[in-house]
Amino acid sequence: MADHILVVRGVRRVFGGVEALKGVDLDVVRGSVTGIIGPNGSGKTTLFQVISGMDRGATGSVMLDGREILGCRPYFVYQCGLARTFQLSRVFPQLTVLENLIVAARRHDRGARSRALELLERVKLEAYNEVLGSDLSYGQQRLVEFLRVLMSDPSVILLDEPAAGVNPTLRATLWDMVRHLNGLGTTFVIIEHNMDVISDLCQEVYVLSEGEVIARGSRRSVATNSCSRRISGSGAAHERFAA
Amino acid sequence: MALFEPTILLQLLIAGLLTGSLYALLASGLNLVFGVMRVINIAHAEFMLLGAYLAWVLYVYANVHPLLSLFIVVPAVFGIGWVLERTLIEHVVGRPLLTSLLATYGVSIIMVNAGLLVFASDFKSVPQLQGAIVIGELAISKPRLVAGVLAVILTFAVYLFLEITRLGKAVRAVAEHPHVATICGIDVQRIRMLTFALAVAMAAAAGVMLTMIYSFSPDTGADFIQKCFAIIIIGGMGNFLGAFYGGVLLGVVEAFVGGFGTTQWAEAVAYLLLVLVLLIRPTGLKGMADVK
Amino acid sequence: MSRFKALLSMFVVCVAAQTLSVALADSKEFVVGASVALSGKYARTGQEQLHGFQMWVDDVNARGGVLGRKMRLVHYDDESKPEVGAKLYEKLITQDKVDLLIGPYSSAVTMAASTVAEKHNFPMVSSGASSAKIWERGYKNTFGLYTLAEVYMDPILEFAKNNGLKTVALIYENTAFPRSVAAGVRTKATALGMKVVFDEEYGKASTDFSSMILKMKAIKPDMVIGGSYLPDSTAFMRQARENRLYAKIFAFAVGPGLPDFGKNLGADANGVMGNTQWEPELKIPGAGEFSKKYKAKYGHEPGYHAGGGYGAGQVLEAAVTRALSVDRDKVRKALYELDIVTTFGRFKVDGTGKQIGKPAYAVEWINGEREIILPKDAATHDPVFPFQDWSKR
Repeated sequence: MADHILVVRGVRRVFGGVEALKGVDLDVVRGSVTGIIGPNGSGKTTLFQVISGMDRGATGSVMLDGREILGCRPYFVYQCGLARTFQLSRVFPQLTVLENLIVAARRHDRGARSRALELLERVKLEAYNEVLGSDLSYGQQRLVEFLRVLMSDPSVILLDEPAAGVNPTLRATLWDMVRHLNGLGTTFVIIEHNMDVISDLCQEVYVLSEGEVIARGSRRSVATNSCSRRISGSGAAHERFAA
Repeated sequence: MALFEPTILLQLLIAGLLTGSLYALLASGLNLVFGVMRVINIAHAEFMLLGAYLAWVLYVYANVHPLLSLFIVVPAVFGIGWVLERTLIEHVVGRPLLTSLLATYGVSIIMVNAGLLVFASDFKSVPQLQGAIVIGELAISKPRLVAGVLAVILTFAVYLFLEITRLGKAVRAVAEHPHVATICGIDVQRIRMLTFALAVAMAAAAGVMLTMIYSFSPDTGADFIQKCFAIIIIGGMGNFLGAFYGGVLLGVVEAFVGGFGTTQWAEAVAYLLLVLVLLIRPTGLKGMADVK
Repeated sequence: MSRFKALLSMFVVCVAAQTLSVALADSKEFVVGASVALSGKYARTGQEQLHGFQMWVDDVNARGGVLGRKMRLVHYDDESKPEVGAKLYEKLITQDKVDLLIGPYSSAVTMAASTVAEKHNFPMVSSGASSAKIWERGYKNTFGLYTLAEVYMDPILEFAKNNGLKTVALIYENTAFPRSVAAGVRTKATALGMKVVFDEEYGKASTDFSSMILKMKAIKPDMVIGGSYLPDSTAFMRQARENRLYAKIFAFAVGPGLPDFGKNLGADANGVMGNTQWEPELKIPGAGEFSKKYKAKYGHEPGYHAGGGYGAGQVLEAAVTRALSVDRDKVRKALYELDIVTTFGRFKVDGTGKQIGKPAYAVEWINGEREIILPKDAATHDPVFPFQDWSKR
């Protein structure tokens, strides 16, 4: 049996009578990259909100490495080794790039500064160390946000459409980092619309629709699944699936 | 007119700087709380008086010099602030501004009336460190000098704490994006407790020094909080350094207006300055610089 | 016939009822109503004033009451607020139907309360207000006990004039009472041929007087007079020392009259003059005895608010005794005619009810004690003059 680092069971979230999540199950294998796809409003981001502790109004169970984290406050979930990014980039605008990273280090990490410098060097942003968050381009902000997540050396990272709005060069750097870190053993859960990325990176894919997992399996099986074709509906999402 | 003599100008400038730095110490704490928590603490000046009364009690009953009692009073008020944030203020963070205004207004009323109950409405003061240092034609008030210098040191120390330390950076991160801060592993609630406690401790330090300068009663706070509001708007809402500049500016302008005009005008100048700054820079002195 | 009988019996019942009610009323005591500041900023002074009232009630009843009837005090807390005070006087008059009225503490609350008393044409003895404005509204029912703010500084100004001082620097807070003091100083100084060479108002929240003091130093006035309260007068004296401002007399309206002035300033208080409405040591008949009894009962020396409270009771007592009734018109007439000396001092009012009989008492801090220096017949100590230079202290 596979070693699951993150196990989600029957997670329900209701907003004023509307069920955003209708009992979602998720099994994330340690060291894997798992993709989550689905149309807008299908509950992908809500699921991330619940897992990361930002939304504490859900019922069910979220086990991280055998430890229940549902209902825990986000900073605690983070300290347990689960980090995430947001769909829209959120760096601290009045903190420098370096400070943006340092605040996210583990509480008693004495090597925070050198770790931050090292990360910035890796993505060739070292010239921006002392630049304020608000002075970065959007793509650079996304990258800084991604690096920030790495500061605590988390075991699981949730990425919410990390490549959206990022130029191709930076995008390549980002996916390289994911690959590199995954190679070192970090587990990723990624919300992504781009099926190329999904098929390239993910070992397993979940399809969410209207708060339910309607399909799961290897990337190929999902891509050809009639079910996922049906839910992808119209427009861009459909084209991405088709591609 | 004799007033334009350089010594008199210098004398006015010094008096203004010293008063201004005390304003700055008080107002920058208020602004810190607003910046991090989006809560306007109407009871801020009451914590200054809490510090003042604690110092007065220590002086009268244990003969502790106010400068020594700083080491007792400031940590004590820090602790009170910590507990109060956890039990009350934490519940109004993130609510509409009116909710937190009402809550802190309630705290203010309770503190003022508790003060009246315990200390009555008599005016207290501590006759220590009196007199002036005389340098030629210049006379610099000893208590004001000590208070002013200490206020600058304390404000600067808090500024350095915010800029340099990990914890300080976390405080600033929470001020900018509390939600993002929390997924960066920052215990936002703990940061808010720290911020509030730090701010009221700064106010208490100002209060301790006030005992040697002025006579105070439980309802003296109202006069100070009004000026503080003017200062933080002048300096830029939520900006720690802005409040510092605003406070010093107000002190100096008050001194000069008092010197060349009348003291009556000096009292109104805070609001005049407020209107002027808002006309020229609607976001306050520092607000504009930060928007870029 | 039966109709006549019915009428007759009704008449009898009516007469009987009326007689009975008169008899009942006769056995009843006189009720004195007052609002007292028991919370809010005048809570402390209000409490002392109330002690004064209560001691008077106890003493009167021990003597067998007035006109053979006992006195009973009905009081409510006005929270030091004018609007609350006004409501309470309305209640005292219309619901509690009190026989006599004593005014509240502070000029502000008295302003509001006196309007209610005037509306009901109900005479009110006011012990706790010294602003002349109260008696400038053409009211007929407000009788003051306190020395008016306008004459506070008269004895000190006369003393200064006699010692050859010529110029006065006048500073005062921009509120009602200090302005009244200042107006009185201007009038008196002009009358004495002295010159007000510096005249400046300051805001209620002023903590820094150094700008003012610098200007004053350039003018070098013979004396400095402050229309002030405690915090501003202490702050001013501190900064006067810091900036080495020298004058032959420093006098302030309220601050130096209070014990806290000495506690807050320490030795720097010495030589500063001020005012008091009343002191336990004043050589007035009954004052010493009252103070002793008060201290025995409440454990602390009475302040002037306590003395005033007791005095207000004595004035009412004298007026009722003179009027032989608590009829409002008769009591009012008696109050206008009275010229008596109570424990609080002389009581004599002019045609508006304004106090004109009670003198202003000047005090000075001498060797850490507050001594009465003027007028001479009431003095406990000779004035120490001139003010000792800071450098020689």
